Amino acid sequence: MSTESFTSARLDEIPLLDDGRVPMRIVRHHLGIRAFGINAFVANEAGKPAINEHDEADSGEEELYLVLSGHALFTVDGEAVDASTGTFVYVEPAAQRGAVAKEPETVILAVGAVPGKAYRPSGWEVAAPAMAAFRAKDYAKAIEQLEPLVEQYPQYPALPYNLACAESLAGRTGDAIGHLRRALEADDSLRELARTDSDLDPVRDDPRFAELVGSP
Amino acid sequence: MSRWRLTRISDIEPRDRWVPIRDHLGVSSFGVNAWLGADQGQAVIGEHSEQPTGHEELYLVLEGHALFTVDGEEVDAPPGTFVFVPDPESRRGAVAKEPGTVVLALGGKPGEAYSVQRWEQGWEYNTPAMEHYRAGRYAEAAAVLRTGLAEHPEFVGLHYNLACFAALAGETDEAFKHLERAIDDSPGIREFARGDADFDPVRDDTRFVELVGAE
Repeated sequence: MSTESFTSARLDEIPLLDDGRVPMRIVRHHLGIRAFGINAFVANEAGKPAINEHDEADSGEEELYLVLSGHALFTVDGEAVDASTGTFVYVEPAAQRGAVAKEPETVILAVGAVPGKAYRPSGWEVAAPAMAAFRAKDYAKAIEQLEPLVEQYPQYPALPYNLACAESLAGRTGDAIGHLRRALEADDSLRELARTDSDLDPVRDDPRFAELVGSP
Repeated sequence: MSRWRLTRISDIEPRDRWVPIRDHLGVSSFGVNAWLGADQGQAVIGEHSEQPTGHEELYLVLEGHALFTVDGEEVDAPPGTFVFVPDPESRRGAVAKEPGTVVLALGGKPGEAYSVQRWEQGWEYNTPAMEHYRAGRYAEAAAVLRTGLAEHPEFVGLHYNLACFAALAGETDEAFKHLERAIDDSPGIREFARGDADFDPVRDDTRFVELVGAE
């Protein structure tokens, strides 16, 4: 339920997005939170991944995980960390981490932000389902999925940024430059990422790219 | 040193009625603590606004069952319920409907880097002081914070509570002295004080109106 003063939701009412990796309930987006990132990752069966293997070195985000149900086995920097329901696992940005469900219906809440920096919602979780096609190199499909989202959620810079990457790889240079411009207008800090992102290599020699992003 | 830490709420020593998860784990980019309602009918989240901090707050019921009230509207919250309150000005609180209710509270100010909140300072004094306060022993509550400030004048977050306890204990001059210090330190607290029933005994004093403005 939602009023002017608050929004409330049961965890299982929050939309579940599947991007071909660990499905997640998009808590932050659903509730309209702006000060930190928060999503709940769901592993229905024992043995399935419950947190995607990754680090946060690039984003600089510290992450706090809380096992809401089931039982997970985390691996952090190669160490096994057993985490039953009610366990908090705090992980520094650079540490490599992942988790696997030891029981069915394992749900892990993940909360993150960058110390010393204002949180800026990028909307990566809204872009995530389209990134399944992207990873499968089906750029036409990724573009088709991202285009309406860019219009629907103009507040999220990750949407035009990822669309620009897909268009770049699909050979649609003009569209890629246009969406990259839109992404940088929304979040100037993406300029740094654009400078080295290999997804943008196909459009890197276009003079409009240099004008927009600067030289590496 | 390893780059991860693990804990459970039951591993952490509670302070008054809250469990300092953020401090215990060393989280520095958002606020995260757990609030406990041991008995049915007990306040788990004391009624308050986040006007002094500007925080948006997200509550998640982990155990038991809570009844939230936000700006006068009730929200029934069994385990697994999120209640998100974006506006710092909203008055919110929650009562335990079952014994052993635990509510996780997460917060931060949109558009600003997180910094540790003043109210977390001096908890070793606030914890016993709040016990006295809730039992109506206002003079004893004030005495605990007076000691705290004598030993740790840097715990500026204690001034506000001392002002409240002194007002309730009839120590009007002392109440105004500490309220003024609290307002000097964080002017945003002025508005909070205006709506705080603890100041009812001194509300009609001209010094109160001078410090916080008219209702």
